[in-house]
Amino acid sequence: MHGQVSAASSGNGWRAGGAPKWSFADRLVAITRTDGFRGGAQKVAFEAAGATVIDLVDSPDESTVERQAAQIEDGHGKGLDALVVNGAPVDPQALVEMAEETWDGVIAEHVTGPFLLFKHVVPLMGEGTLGKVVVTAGPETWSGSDGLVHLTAARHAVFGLAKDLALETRARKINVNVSCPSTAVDDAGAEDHEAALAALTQSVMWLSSDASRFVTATSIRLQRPTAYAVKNRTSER
Amino acid sequence: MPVNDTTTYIPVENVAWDFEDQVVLVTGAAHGQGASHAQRFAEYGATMVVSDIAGEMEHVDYKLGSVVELEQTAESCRSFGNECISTVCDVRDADQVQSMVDQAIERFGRVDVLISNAGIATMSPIESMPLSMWQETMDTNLKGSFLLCRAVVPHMKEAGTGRIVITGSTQTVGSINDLANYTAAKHGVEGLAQSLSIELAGYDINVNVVCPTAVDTDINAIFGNEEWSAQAGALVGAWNLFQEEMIHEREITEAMMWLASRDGAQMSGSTIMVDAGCMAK
Repeated sequence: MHGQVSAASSGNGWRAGGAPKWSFADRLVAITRTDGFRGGAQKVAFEAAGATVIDLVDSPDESTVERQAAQIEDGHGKGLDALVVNGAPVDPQALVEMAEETWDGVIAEHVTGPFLLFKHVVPLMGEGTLGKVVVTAGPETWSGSDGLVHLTAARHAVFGLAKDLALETRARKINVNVSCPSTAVDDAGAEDHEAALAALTQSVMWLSSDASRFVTATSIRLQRPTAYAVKNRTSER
Repeated sequence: MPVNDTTTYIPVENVAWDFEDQVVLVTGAAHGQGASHAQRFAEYGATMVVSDIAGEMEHVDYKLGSVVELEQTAESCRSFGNECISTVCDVRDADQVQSMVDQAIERFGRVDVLISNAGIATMSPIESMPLSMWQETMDTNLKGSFLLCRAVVPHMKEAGTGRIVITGSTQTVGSINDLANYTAAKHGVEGLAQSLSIELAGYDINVNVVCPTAVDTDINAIFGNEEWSAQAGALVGAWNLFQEEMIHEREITEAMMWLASRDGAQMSGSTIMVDAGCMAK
């Protein structure tokens, strides 16, 4: 057919859009939970793109976070380009059965921990840095979930926290966003675990780059329609 | 309202896109955001189809794109060594939309990426808004996306893959006085994208929306009314947390390209705010 472009294909027939090439050479990125799926994949990706990665401990203990911040400043001054704060899954439990300690623990880990990192680590993003904060959360950021009242409250809260940080740091042009993958990202047995993890990693790269410099105080939903919705769609009944 | 000044664009350093061998269709491409999207996709290797109404509209007071500008966009795309066809097309007209898509398919065999960007803004309080003004904005900004998707989707299904990105607005998620038609249409595109994403779930065809804050293009001329600007400023606050000037259209293009790239594989039915924190409050 005249003028028809070549039918280049890539592996599984995927054709729409090639993979972007990221470059974070000479950039400093601090990532929490690099021993987990999320942080581990991000560390690999950032290092492949040339960044220096600092492994951070996400802790609700202020002295622990202060010590880490001091270590970063000793080694790198105020040269931190990006902070990635990774969420983690929790076990479901009905509200009426939930112990206060369980609630407190989830809030401490998922909200107070990020708060302390924002307080002590974000000030290390000085002049000339990319100025990027990315929190990885989940679908509980925007919707309810059965048996996850503690996590849903925490995810909503950390989004609010991120929006406030974005407002407070606007003079320094620091972008603060939340990326929300599907639950498969933390479940190695899930069919789409690898795809979900890749999507999260790629969203973190984009949100940490200068390609998203006017994206701030927002959440990115890494979602596709559910299997139920696909099976029951009207258009193909 | 932010300052309408010539905004300096600082080139992005952290990423290089890859659209070699992709056919990308952009509407509203004569100038402004659409021209930026078209040129950038072409720069990264895409074969282009660009279109615009390239004419007047009854209720639009600011300068719309012209045939000359549309051809300038096309020439700019070709300057990167890629083919580009340009078509005058009113996205409100189903026959014109179908004809444009048919032309693209006949020439290139497929459309891999649809950037449904054509849009207008007109302003009036509801009680004095002519029905024709309401219809003109709804048909351009919402129905246009419907017609484009309806024409392109069968071909994307046949190919088994595709990307659709629709231009939204801060008014996709927020609202402001005297823009009922614009706000309704921009809310509508999010609903359209979410529903279509479910219809297309099994085909590796993604549908998403990008929502800009004020961008330094001609459409913002309608916001020059001082009284309205004062009201809007009091309601909305800062249109951009980082600077007084409006943002460059290429900042929006970056989000379009990300969603159209392989990275966008796991996102469908999503809305990306490129609003510089405008809707944070």
